[in-house]
Amino acid sequence: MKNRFVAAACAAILALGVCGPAVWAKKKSDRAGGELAIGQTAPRAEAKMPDISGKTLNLQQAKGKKGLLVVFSCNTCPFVLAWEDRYQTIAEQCRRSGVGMILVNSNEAQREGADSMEEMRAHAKEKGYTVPYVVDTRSELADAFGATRTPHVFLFDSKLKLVYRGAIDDNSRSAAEVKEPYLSNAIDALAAGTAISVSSTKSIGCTIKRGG
Amino acid sequence: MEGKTPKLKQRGRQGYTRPRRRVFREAAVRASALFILESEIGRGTGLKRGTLFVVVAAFAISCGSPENVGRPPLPSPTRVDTLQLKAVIESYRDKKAVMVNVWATWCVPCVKEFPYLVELQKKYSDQLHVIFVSADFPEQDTAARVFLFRQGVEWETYLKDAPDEPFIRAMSEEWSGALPATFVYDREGRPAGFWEGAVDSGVFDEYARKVIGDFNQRGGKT
Repeated sequence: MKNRFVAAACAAILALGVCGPAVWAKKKSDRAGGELAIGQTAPRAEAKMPDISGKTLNLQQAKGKKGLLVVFSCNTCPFVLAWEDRYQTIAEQCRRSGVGMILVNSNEAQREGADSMEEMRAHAKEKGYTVPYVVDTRSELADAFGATRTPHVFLFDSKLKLVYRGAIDDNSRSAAEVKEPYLSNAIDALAAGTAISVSSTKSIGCTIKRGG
Repeated sequence: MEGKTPKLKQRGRQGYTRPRRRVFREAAVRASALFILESEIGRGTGLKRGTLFVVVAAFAISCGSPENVGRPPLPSPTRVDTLQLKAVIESYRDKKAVMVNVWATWCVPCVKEFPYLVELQKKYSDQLHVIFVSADFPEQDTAARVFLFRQGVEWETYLKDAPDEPFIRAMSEEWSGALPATFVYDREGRPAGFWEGAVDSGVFDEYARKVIGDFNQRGGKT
C-alpha cells in the first residue's frame, strides 16, 4: 500500500516536472480560449439586457426566423469604427434573410464613461443604428460566449446553434477592398440552408473592457 | 503614459548649449564671408548691400537652427508581413529568448503595459529581445513613432502589414486577435507562453526569468 502511494507520488512529481512548464504556459494562455464552439447553443438566451430604446430584451426575442447575429461592439474601438460602415449593410442583409441582429456592449469597465447608456444612445443615433444595442451588464454575456474583442461576431441558426464566429470580413479599413466577406457569406448560406464553408475566423480588435 | 527619454534629457541643456554656440558661430562666419561676396553680387544686381546681407544672414542662420540640432529622429517601425516577422523571431534562435508584443497606440492596456516591456528589455538586454509589433493603421504611423520615441525605444520595431486572419493564426491558434497580445519564445525558438489582454506587470518579468532561467540552468546548453 505504502509502495503504491510512493509510486503514485513519484509518478505525479515526474509528470509535473515534464508537463509543468507546458501546463504553466497554457494556464497563462487560458484567456485566449473558451470561445463558444461551432454547434454550441447560445448561452444566456433568456437573460434580459437593457436596450438603448429603454426596453429590455434577450437573445430569444432578438432572434429572427432563420437565426440571430450577435455582434459584440462598443462606441470607441478603432476597429469597430472602421467596420461600422458595414453594420447597416449587414443589418439589411439580416433583415432580408430573416436573421435577427443585436449589438452588445460588454465594456463594463467603461460603463460610467465612454460606454455608458447615454453614450451608446448618442453613438447609435450618430451612426444610424436600426438594430437593438444593449448593455451587457457585468460582461456576463461576453463571458458566457467567450467573446474577447470588439467587434466579435457570432451567428446562430434558428435553434440558436452557433454556425459562424469571428470576423466581419478580411479588411477592417476598406469595404471596397474586402476579398473575403466571411459574415455575409455565412448569412447567405444560413438563409439558403447550405453549408457554411468558413465557419471560424479571427481579426484584430480591442479587448473587451471587463470590469475589475 | 509618457515614458522617460533619458538620453535626450541627459543631453538636455548640455546637449543643446554647445551646438547652439557652434551654430551661431558658424552662421556668423558664413554671413561674413557672404557679405564680402555679396558686395560683388549686389553691385551686379543693383540690390542694396544691406538688404542682400540681411537676406543672406537670415538664410545662413536658419540653416543652423538649434531646433534641428541634437534631436534624434523619430523611430520608424519596419513594415512586416507574417513571414517576415517569423523570420525576425527565428533570427534570435540560439542567441536570445524573445518576447513579441503586439500593440497599438489606441489600445489603453497596450499603452499601460508598454513601459514594463521597455524596462524588461533594458534589464535583460543580453539574454532577451523584445519585439514590438504595432497593429496601428498606416494613418496612425506618426502617432506610433512619437509614442515609441517617448517610451525610449531605441531598437528596431515593426508595423504589421498583413491581413489579420493568417497573421493571427501564424502567431498562435490560441490568439483570438484581441490586443494586447504577447508571445514568448525560449532561446531555442520554442513557444514558451502566450497571453492576450491586460495582465499584471509581474507576469512579464516572471516569464522572462523563466525562459532565461531555463537556459541558464542547463549550463547555457541547448
